[in-house]
Amino acid sequence: MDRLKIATVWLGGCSGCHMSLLDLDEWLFELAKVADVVYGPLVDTKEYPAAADVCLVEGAVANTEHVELMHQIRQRTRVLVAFGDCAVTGNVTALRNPLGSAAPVLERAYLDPANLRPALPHEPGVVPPLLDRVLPLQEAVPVDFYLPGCPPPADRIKAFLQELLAGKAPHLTGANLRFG
Amino acid sequence: MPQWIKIDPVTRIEGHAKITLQLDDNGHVSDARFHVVEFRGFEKFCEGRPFTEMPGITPRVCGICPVSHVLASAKAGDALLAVDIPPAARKLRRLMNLGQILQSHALSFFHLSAPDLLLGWETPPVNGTSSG
Repeated sequence: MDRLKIATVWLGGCSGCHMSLLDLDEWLFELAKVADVVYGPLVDTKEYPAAADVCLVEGAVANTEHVELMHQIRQRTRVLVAFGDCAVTGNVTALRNPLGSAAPVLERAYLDPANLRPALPHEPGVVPPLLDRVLPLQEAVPVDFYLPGCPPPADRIKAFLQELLAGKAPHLTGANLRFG
Repeated sequence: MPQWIKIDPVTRIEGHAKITLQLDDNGHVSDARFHVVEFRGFEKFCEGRPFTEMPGITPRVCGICPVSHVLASAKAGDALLAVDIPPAARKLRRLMNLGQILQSHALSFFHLSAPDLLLGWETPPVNGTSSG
C-alpha cells in the first residue's frame, strides 16, 4: 500500500488542536510507519503538495489568505477534515462576529493603546486583511468529516485516524461528539 | 532596483508569521520585517462578558501556552473579587505553570528545532519532521 499523505493546516485558531495531535506521543511513531506528514506547521515545506490524502484543518476561516489557501487545499485533497471546534463552528475565533465587522477588534487593539504608535496593519500582499465575518470551514469549502473538541482529546483523534487508516469512514459517537 | 525576499510562511515556530527582507541596489539588506499574520481580537470581544467565562476563553489565545493565559485571567478574577487564594492553590498554579514550561521546551526542541539540528539543513523538507 502506498504511504498515506497527511497534511495539517492551522487557520484562525490557537494551535491547541495541533498540541492535542502531538499528545498522541508514541502513537505518532505508529502513524509514521504508514503515513507521511507532507505539509503543516510541523513541516518545513512552504507549498501545499499537488495531492494529499487527508488534511486536518484546525481553526476558522478568518482572513482572505485562509480562503485562498482552503480553495487550493480542497482541490488537492481527497479527505478534508474540520479538526476541532473552531473549524467546525467558528468557536472562539468567531466570537468577534456579533460586532458586525473586523473594524472594532482591529481598532481596539491597534488604535486604542495610544502609547504604541497607533496604526492599523497595512501591508498589502503580506498581511492578509481580516474577513468581516469569521467562517466555520464548511462555509468556505465542502468538508468531508468533522472532529469536534476544544481541543479534540488525543484519544478521539486517534480513534478517528485509525478508522481513516483502515479505509473506513470515521463515525464518531457518544462522548466523542462533544464540543468544548 | 530594490528587491524583496519573502519567507512565507515561517514554519516550525509557535505561531503564524512571515518575514520580508528588502534588498537595496547593491543587494544588501536595507529593511527586515517580521509580520505576525494572525489576529483574532480577544482585547475587544472579551469586553462585557462575565468574568467567570474568562478562564475558559483566554487559554484559547494560545494552545501552546494556555496556562499563562488561564492564570492571567484567574488572577484578574481574584483581583476583581478582592480575594486572596490559599497557599496550596498558589503552589498548584505555580506547578501547572512550570509544567507548561517543560512541555513548551520539549515541543520546541523535539518537534520544531531537532529535525534541523539532527537531520541537517539539506534534508528535504518533507523528511525533516520529528519522525525523521
